[in-house]
Amino acid sequence: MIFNSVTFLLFLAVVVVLYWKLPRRPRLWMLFLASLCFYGFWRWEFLPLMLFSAGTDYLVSLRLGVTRNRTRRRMLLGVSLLVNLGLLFVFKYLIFLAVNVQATFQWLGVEFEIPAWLGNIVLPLGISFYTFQTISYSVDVYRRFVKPQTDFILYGTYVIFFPQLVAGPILRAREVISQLDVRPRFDLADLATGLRRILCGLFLKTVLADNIAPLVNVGFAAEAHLLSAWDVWTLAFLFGLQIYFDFSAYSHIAIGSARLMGIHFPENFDFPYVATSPREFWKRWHISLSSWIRDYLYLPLAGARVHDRSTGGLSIDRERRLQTGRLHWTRALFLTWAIMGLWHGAAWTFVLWGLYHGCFVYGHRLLAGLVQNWPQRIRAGLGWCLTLPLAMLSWVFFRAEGTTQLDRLGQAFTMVAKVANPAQYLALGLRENTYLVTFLLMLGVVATWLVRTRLLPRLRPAGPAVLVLDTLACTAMAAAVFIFLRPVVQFIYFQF
Amino acid sequence: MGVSKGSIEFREVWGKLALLLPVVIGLLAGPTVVAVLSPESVALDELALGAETSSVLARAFDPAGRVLPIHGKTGADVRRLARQQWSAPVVLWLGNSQLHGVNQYRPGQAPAPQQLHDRLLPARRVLTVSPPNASPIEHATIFEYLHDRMAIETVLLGVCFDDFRNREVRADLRGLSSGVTATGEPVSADPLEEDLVGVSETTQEHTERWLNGWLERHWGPWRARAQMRGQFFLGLYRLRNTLLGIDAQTRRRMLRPSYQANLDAIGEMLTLARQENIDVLVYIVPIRGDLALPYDPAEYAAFRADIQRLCDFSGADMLNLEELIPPEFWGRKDATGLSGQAELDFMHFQSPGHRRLAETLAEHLGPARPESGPAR
Repeated sequence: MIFNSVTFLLFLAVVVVLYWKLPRRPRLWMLFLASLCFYGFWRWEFLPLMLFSAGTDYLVSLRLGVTRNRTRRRMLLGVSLLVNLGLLFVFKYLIFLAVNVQATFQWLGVEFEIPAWLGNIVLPLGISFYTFQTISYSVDVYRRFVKPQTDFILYGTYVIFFPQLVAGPILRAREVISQLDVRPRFDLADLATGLRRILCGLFLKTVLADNIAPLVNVGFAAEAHLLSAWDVWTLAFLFGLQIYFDFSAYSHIAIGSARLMGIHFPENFDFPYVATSPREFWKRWHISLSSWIRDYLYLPLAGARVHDRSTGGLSIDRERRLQTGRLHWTRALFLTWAIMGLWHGAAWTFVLWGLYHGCFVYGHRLLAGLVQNWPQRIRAGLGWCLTLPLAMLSWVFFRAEGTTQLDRLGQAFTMVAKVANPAQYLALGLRENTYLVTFLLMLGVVATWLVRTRLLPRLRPAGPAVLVLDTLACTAMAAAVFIFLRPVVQFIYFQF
Repeated sequence: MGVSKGSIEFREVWGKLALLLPVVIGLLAGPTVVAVLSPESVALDELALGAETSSVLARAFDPAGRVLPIHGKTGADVRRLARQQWSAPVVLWLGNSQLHGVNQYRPGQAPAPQQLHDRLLPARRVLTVSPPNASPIEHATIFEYLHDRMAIETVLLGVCFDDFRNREVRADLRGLSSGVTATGEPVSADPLEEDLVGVSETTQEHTERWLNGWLERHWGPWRARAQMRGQFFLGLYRLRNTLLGIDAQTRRRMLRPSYQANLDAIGEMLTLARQENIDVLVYIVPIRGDLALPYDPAEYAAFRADIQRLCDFSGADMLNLEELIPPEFWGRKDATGLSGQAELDFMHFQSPGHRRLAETLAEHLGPARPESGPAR
């Protein structure tokens, strides 16, 4: 089910009312069935696949709970990883592999056809998200960070809980299971926050992201060699804004929907485009994925011992870091980023996008030391001026389009090469509105951040000024959402 | 100084209410404001033409006196043209709002397509499609859809420099690429179609269609949403023009990527026409000549040359009708900004201009081809 629809709003209202009315057991069943229904509104036939993935980890974790033998525990974890990553591989990467094998053989002069059924594989909605969630559960049970959950309905609801099912935030078991198990007391503040977050999310999606989409589509459909450097920058910024509005809208609505039931999800976005370094950018962008990748991929790849159970971030064993050495960490860094890119999509452009960010983070590590004695304000200002355009430029790889992998790579490289060529700064090839909209939206993002972090803290909370401004803002957003609410464009992250 | 427990509780409750009230008031007031402001049915197309220019479509009658639609602006109109059995070979005229926009219109006056149609009868039928600001890419989409659905003898293609800035194909015309459903039925012209793209081919599509349909039937403001979206963008457009001082005489640049894509579309269209043995007459549309053109002279010259080159290459005829309409036949249009001051119209002219355009094209078309047969 898509959030920006009348169906979802009606569905959510019914679920929330039932949630507060029903006692524990029926309530859990209701959430479980509602989540299945939510997913089934896309395609019913993929429900068994999701339940199979969740069921495997449920059984594996139960066995892990009673198994002390280290080798057997490792084997059990292996089963979980094999099943989950196997499903992900078949549905998401098999065709990618086949196309690349075919291209390689073609290059060697051997022709063969890819079986037609491979081209018909449909990517199940949300598979990248729920697979990561179930893997994290099994790994946490293996690491003995959480106890295995014996109640399948409670566990199942955690995995398929509808607000976060399709595009996150990716939740950890210990963050959510206890909240699902014991219903919190009804709180007006939660209701207010929930409604506000949903309204805000719908505004970002239906009014901003969906109306930017046509400008972005036209820009990226153009032959790359006809675009100027200004066009490339504009399209990079505009798509960066579109994906930010689109994805953060999803997170807002997910967080808001859960909050209506008194359930608190972790934040997934925190004004990423004001980050002053790549490191900070990834602490503000898709936070649940960044921290997942760090805890379940980067640290294990780097050979770091994970010993902290806190959700605020697993710390690295200092001795181990010294033992493994810098090269080891660098290798882990780039491998992690390549996988991170591939997670987003089965295409070389996504791998390049990941490696671009790997270089970005690595470059920052190397250079940060050189300016560490500079005044903080100058460092922050300079950092923002470098981080923002470089982060935005990375979206060119992410958004590049074409009928073949080579076309996409060609478009991405042609576009990125333009920005390095001074001669390409002499023309404009897009509609004037495209530049204007990009500029105004970027200005809007920065202004919103300034209001949130600088102005609002100075005003008296619940004072008349805040109340009036807040009411006006909510009215304007609600009016705009009323006019624009329609499932005209899917959320971008649905394709991952 | 101590603070009483009651006071603390009050502050706590007030703090929560202060969070809740704005959003609840907003959720109630937002749609109410929209409902109060929701317009009566407004033809945005007419609004864009301005009060001094009317949209007039050509039409014909069959022997039984029923109206035959021979002129349209939308994808649904194109499908209607394709469904009709035409008894004479067809001259397909593709253009923009110039063909249906009559400045200072008085009842009884006929747009150019009507006049050309009547002149060429009974040997040929003139069928016209003139979506506002239609780009050659859109014209090519329409031609591709119609070329094997009727016996087209000649295509008249009006090209306008302004329209080369457009690259998007509007949703109703985009549907022409597929044309029919899996069961062979023409694609529905349901206005909800475009709204539901995000849930197409999912279970949710059915509930969403039903719920929206129900709301549209029972709640006026919900029905008016498409209109309001249009008015919202029109308001933004006027605001932008006012703030940036943009009017009808402001110079419009050539947008290289869109321009090239449109040239390519004409090239493909001419190739397809040649394969199908369809004659093509490309003409550069009349434009107001008593004032400086709102284009860069070098870019406009390049445009003329490119069109000529394409026609030479594919053997199509080309006419430059830029100066066909004398200054006195051109009109004014509504303000494009918020000032309310009427502006010069570079695109739409009065009825005598339409007559002159029809006469000129009729002259160039000449008599019907002897081998032209009945409709396919």
